[in-house]
Amino acid sequence: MSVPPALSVQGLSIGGDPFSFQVMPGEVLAVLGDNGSGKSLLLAHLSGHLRVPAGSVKVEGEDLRAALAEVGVIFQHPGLIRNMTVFENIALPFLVHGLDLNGEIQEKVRLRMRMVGCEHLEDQEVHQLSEGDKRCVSLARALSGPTRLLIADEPVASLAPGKKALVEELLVCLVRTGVLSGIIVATQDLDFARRIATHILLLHGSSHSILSTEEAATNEHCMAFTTRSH
Amino acid sequence: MVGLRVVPRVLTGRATIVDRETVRQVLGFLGGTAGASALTTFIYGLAAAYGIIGNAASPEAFESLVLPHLGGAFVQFVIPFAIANLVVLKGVVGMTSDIASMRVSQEIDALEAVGLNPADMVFAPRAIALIITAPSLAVIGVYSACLGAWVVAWITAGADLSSFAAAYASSVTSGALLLTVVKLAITATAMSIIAGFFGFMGAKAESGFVGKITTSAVATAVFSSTIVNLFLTLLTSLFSSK
Repeated sequence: MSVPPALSVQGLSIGGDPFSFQVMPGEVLAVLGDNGSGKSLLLAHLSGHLRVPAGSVKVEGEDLRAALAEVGVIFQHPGLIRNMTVFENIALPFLVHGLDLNGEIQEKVRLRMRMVGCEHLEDQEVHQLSEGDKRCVSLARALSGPTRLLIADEPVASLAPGKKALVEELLVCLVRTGVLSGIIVATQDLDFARRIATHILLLHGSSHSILSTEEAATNEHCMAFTTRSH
Repeated sequence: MVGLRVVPRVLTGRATIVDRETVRQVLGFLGGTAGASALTTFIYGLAAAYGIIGNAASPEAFESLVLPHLGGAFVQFVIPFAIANLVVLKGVVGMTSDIASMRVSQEIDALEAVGLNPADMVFAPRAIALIITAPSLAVIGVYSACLGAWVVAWITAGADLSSFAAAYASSVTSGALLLTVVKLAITATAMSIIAGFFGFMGAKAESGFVGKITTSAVATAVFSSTIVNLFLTLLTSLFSSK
């Protein structure tokens, strides 16, 4: 029996040519493009935040609407709930499923805090955090609950080099060990994309192309984008 | 009714995340407005008593003719107006700007992503806080206004607090107090709907213009609160005169 793709997109349109692509289990797709190229819009469709106007999006063979609980999302703004502590924010997906804050989720939440290196921030209010720490907490929250597919908009933006390396390593580890079936990241950082992705979806103008990371190294649009980014 | 369901769960230690947020909002709103409402109604009481005593023929005339009706008049006309203003200023401004800025900062999106309905988690706790707190503030207001009026009576005529308070309280009927509580609960419900509408819908349409959205919400709330108050006062006067 064949394994269903972690994510399957058919005929999705965000204004330009319709998208059709698949992310197989164990793969990481990096969505690369200039400011305003539609990366965040594409991710909003893939995470179910915006309704898919045409075409279909399936997660592990299931329609996106039915599989939303298994999709973890890191938004462009970290979206941490302002009047909750770091611990409560990360616990939120567990609490939604009726688990008690004082019970078994304590260890689960602390594990996720250790994974992203923010265990020392447990009792802090989120408005006291730096932008980088907010990103890490947002990642930990996206990994809480029954997450199988991670959709991340600029997950390493504003992270210090040490934290960036930790997050890169974590994402690769989670997808290679099968904890996550796939990851889709939107980024403007081509080096980061090359390090963690198996494929790159390059958005340019109203068109797009899917490249392997090797092809991205020599693709003229990627090179032009890298030049502009630097 | 949603608010009532929260209480047993909180008391038995089985509070959900929404229950905890509701309790947090109720305590926050009560803490943030109790002092202001006590002070505002104290000043209303002070000003009203000063105006009346200044125009009364003698302090005895005030005591025998005005004081027996003062509490009732405050409860019916002054307190609802004063508390409604506070609810508009603190409640509508806070709630609209909270919801609108939470949409802009993608907190609402994040709640949806983890499977929480923003209406349950963001709107309902704030609306419940407003609806529970506004009538409670009216009770605080009745006694603060009494204290304000007594200060003037004490300075001008050396009135004794206990006898002044007894005469004042005799005119505050439980029916009038209940009507005020209901009136404020209705006003707070209307204000919550306005704040929720502008917070969610306004921010969707004009992402980023939190200040503009809040101003529009306040303008609508001030107008609506005046209309609601006027309508309810006319309605209660109509019934009480029959």
